Amino acid sequence: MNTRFRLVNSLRNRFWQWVVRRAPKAPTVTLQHKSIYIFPGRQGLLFILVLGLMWLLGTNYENNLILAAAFLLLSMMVVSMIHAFRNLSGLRITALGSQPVFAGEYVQFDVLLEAAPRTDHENIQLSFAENVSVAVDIPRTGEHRLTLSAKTHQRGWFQPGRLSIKSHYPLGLIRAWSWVQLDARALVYPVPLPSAAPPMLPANSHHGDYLSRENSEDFQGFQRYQAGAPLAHVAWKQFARGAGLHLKDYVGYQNQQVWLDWDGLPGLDTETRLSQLCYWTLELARTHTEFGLRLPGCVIELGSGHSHQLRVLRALALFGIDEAGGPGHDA
Amino acid sequence: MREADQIPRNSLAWLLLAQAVILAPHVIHIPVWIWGIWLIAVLWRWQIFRGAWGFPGWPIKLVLVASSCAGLYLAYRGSFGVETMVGLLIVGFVLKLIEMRKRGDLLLLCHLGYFIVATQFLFFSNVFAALYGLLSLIVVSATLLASHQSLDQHRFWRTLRLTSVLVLQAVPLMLLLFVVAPRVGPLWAVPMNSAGAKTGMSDSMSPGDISELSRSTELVFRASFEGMAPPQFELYWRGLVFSYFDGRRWSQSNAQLSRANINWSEQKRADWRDDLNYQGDAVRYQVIIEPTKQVWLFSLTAPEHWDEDTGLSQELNLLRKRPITQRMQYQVTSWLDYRYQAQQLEEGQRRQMLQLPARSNPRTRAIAEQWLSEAGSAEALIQRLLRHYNTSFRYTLQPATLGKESVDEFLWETQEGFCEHFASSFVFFMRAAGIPARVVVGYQGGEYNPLENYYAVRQREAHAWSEIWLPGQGWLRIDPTAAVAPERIEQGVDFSLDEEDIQLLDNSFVAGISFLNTLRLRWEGFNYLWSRWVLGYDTNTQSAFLDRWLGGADVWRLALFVLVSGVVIIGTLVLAVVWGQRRKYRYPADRYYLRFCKKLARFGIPRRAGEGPRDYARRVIQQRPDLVSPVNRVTELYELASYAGNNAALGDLKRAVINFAVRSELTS
Repeated sequence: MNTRFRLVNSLRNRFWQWVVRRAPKAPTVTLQHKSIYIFPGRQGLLFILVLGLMWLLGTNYENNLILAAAFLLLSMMVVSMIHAFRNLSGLRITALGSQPVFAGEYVQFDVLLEAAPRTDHENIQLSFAENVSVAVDIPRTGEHRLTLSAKTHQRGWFQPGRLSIKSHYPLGLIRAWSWVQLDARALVYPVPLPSAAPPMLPANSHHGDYLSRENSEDFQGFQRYQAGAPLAHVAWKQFARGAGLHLKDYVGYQNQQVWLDWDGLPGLDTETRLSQLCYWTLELARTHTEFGLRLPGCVIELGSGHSHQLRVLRALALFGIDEAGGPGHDA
Repeated sequence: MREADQIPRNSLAWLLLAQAVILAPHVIHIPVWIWGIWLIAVLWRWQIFRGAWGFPGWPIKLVLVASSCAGLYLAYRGSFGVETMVGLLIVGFVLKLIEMRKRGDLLLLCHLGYFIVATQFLFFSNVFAALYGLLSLIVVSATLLASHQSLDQHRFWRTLRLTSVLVLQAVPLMLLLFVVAPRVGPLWAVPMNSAGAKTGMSDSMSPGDISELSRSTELVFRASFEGMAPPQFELYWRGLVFSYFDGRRWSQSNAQLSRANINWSEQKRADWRDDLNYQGDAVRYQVIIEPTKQVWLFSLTAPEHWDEDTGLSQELNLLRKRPITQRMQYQVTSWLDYRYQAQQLEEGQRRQMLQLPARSNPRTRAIAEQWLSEAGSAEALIQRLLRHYNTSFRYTLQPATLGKESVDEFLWETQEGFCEHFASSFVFFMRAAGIPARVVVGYQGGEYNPLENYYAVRQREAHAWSEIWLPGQGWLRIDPTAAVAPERIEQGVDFSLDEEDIQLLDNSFVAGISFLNTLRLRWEGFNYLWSRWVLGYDTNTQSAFLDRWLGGADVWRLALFVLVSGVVIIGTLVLAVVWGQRRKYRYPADRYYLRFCKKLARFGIPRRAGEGPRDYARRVIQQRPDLVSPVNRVTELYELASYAGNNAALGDLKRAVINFAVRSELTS
C-alpha cells in the first residue's frame, strides 16, 4: 500500500516536472501548442455515448442518414478540438503585481490578458490551484485586466503556484487547459495576534525609550484606564511594574517612542512572537506612535509613517526567510 | 446554487427554439396532445424563468408522466414500434423542460435532442429531410455553444454563424467517415414501423385489385442495368406467384406459404435448381426498392445470382428474410431465356397447378373441355383462347362488376377488364383444360430516365400475367393482356387505355409540356442518385466504390487512405486556424522591420515600448558600434518603404533584413 502510494506520488511529481519543463516560469507567458492540453470533458464523454447509441440505431435500421448524422457529430467533436485549442492559443498572460496581505487572507494578483492577433478568446476560466476561478472573455485586439485571488497560509513570500487556464468553449465537449507558472509573488505578513501589552524589554534593562524626556513637560500625570482609550496612551511602564492599567495624560503624545522587541516575548515560539509584533506594529502605526523594531539580526530604527510601517511589516514577514526565495508552496 | 450551475437565459431561449425545430418533423406521427404538453412545459418554464412560478412538485410531475405514458399506450394500442419509442423519447424531452434546474440538465437535453434529430430519419429520408436534419443539428449545437458563451459575447446571429462554421468544417471529415466506415448490418432485431395502410402488391389477388393499384403513381422501385437494357416488352418484374384459387381470389398455396422450398443465399444450391437451365445472355441489374413492408423482391425471370438474406422460391420469385422497412438496394443477375422443369412436373406440384374450386364456373369448364378436344393440342388451344380475347374483349380500368361465377361472367358476358381479369380467366381456363398453369403478379415495364439511365417502376405499372406448363417445354409465360392491348406491353399503360380511363390515372406528371417534363426527369434523376449513393450506400456499394477509387478494399489501403485524408483534412483546418491567428501587417514594411527587431532582441537589445526606429537605431549603435552600417541601412530603408511608399525600398529592406546578422561581440 505504502509503496503504491509512493509510486503514485513519484509519478505525479514527474508529471508536474514535465508540465513545468513545457511551460517554464516567466513574468509573461504566451499560450502555445506546447503548453495547451486537450481532452474530452465530462460532456464530451456523454456525447460519445450518445453517438454510440446513434450508430447502433443507424446500424440496426440500416439507415445511412442516421449514420451520417452520427459521423457528422463525431467530426464536429474533432473540429471543436481545434477550436478549443484556438481559443487558448496565443493568449498572453502577464503578472502585474499584488498587494501584501496578512497570512490566511486572500492575496489579489493583478493579471493582464492580451488576445492573440485576430482572435476572440471566449469564456476562459482562470484560477490559482484550488482557488475560485474567474471567467473572462478577451475579444480580439483587446486586453483584459483582472485580479485573481489565492488563499495564503503562512507569512513570507507567497507564490501562487500554477495558474490553471481552462475553457470548455465552443461546445463544452472538449476541455482545453493549460498550466502556467507566472513569475509572481506576494508578500504575506504574519497574522496579527493581539496581546495585552507591546513586547518591550523590561524597564530595568535598556530603559527609557517609552517616554521621551525632552517632551516630559507635556506629560501631566496618570489617569485611570478607561475602556476604549487608545492603547498607546496606556502607561505600560507602570503596568509592567504591576501598578495596573493607567493612562498617561499627555498634552502632545505624538512624540512617544516605543521599541518593539523580540526579546520582550520570552518563552513564545517564533511565529507567535512575530504575530504579536505585527499586531503592535499596526496598533502603533494607527495611533501615530513613533516606534522601532528589534529582531535578532535586524534593527529598524525609530520612525513613523506609512513607509516605516511597511518596512517593519516586511521585516516581520521575512524574518528568517531568504529574501529571494522563501518557503515555497510547491514543495 | 453556484453561478456556473445556473441556466443562462440565452441558452434557455436557444433550447426552446431547438425543441420547436426538432419536434416539427415528428408532427406527422406523434399524437397531437404531445404538442399541448410541450406548450404547457414552455409556458411553465417561462414562468419559472420570470420567477413567477416554482418548479412543479412531485404530484404534478407524476400526473404529467403517468398521463403521457397512458396517452402513448392508447395512441399506439400497446404495440412497441419505432413510433412508440420515438414518442417516449419526445415526451421525456418535453417534460424535462420543467424539471431542468441546473446547467448540466440543459446540456443533457441537448444530447437527447441530437438523438431525436437522428430518429427523424427513420420516417423521412429524402434530400429535404437531410437538409432539415442538418439545420436541426446546427440549432442544437448552437444551444450547446450558447451555454458555453458568456452573456456579453452572445448575439443570436454570431452564435448561429459560429455554429454553422463549426458544422460545415466537420463536413469533409464526415464524408470520409461515411465512405469508409464499415457497415456491419443489423446487430439485433429491432421494432419496425407499425405499418399503416400501404398501397402495393398484396399477397392475394381479387378482381379489381390491380386496376385499383394502377391509379397510383407511387414509386415502387428503380432499376438500372449494366450494359444494354432488355426491351420494354421483356421487362416482366416478377413479384409473386399465385397457385391457389378459391373461385374469386388468387393466393399462394400452402406449400408456398410454408416456405419449405426456398433456396436461401447462404444455403448450398438446392437440387430442384438443376431443372432450371439458363440460355442466351445474362442481364445484370441493380434495384433500389422503396419500403414495401413485404418480403418479396422484384426480379426478371429467371434469377441466377442474388444478394445475401435473399432466397429463390421454387416458383422462381425472390424473397427476403425480413420485410423491407427501409429503402434498400439489391443486385440480381437474370437470364431472360430459360427452361424450367422441362422434363417433368413433380406430382404434388402438378396437382397444385391444376387445382380449381369444385363446381365453380361450370360454363368455362365445359367450354375448356370442348375446345381442347376440338383443338387437339395445347398450343392450338392457347391460340384459340388468345384469339377469343383479341376479337371481342376490351381493356379498361372500369370493368363491369363481376358476380359469384366471376370467370364465367368475364369470359362469356361482360368481356371487359384489366390485366388481373385476363390472367385469372386464362389460368382458370388452362387448368380446366388440364394444362398446369399459375398466375404471376408484379410489374411490367417502367419509365426510362435517360438522364440517369434507370427505369422507374411505379404502382401504375402493376401487372398480372400467367404461366403454363407444357411437357418438354417447361414453364412458359403467356400474357393474355398482350392479346387484347399489345400497346400496354410495348409502350406502357398510358398508351393502352381509352381517354376516359386515362382520366382515372393519377397523371399529374404525365408529359404535357416538355420543359416541365425534363425538369421532372432531372429531379427524379437526382433523387435516384441520392437513393443509390447516399441511402443505398451499403457494404456492396462500398466495396465497389473503394475498389474503383483505391484499387481494392484491403485493410492497408483503407488505413492508408483514412490516414492520409484525415491528416489532410485536419491539417488544413489547423493551418487555417494558425493562419487566422497570424498578425496582419497594415504595411508590409512593418513585417520586415519587426523581424529585424526580433533578431536584435535575441542579442539582448530589444526595442522598448514606444521607441521610434531612429531612437532605437541610435541606442543599438551605442551598444554595438560595429553594427552601425547595417542598422542604419535597415532603418533608412524602413522609413523609405513605409513613409515614402517606395516599393523598390521594400525589396531592398527585405534583403537587408534577411542578410542582417548579429555576430557575437567577442569575435568582432
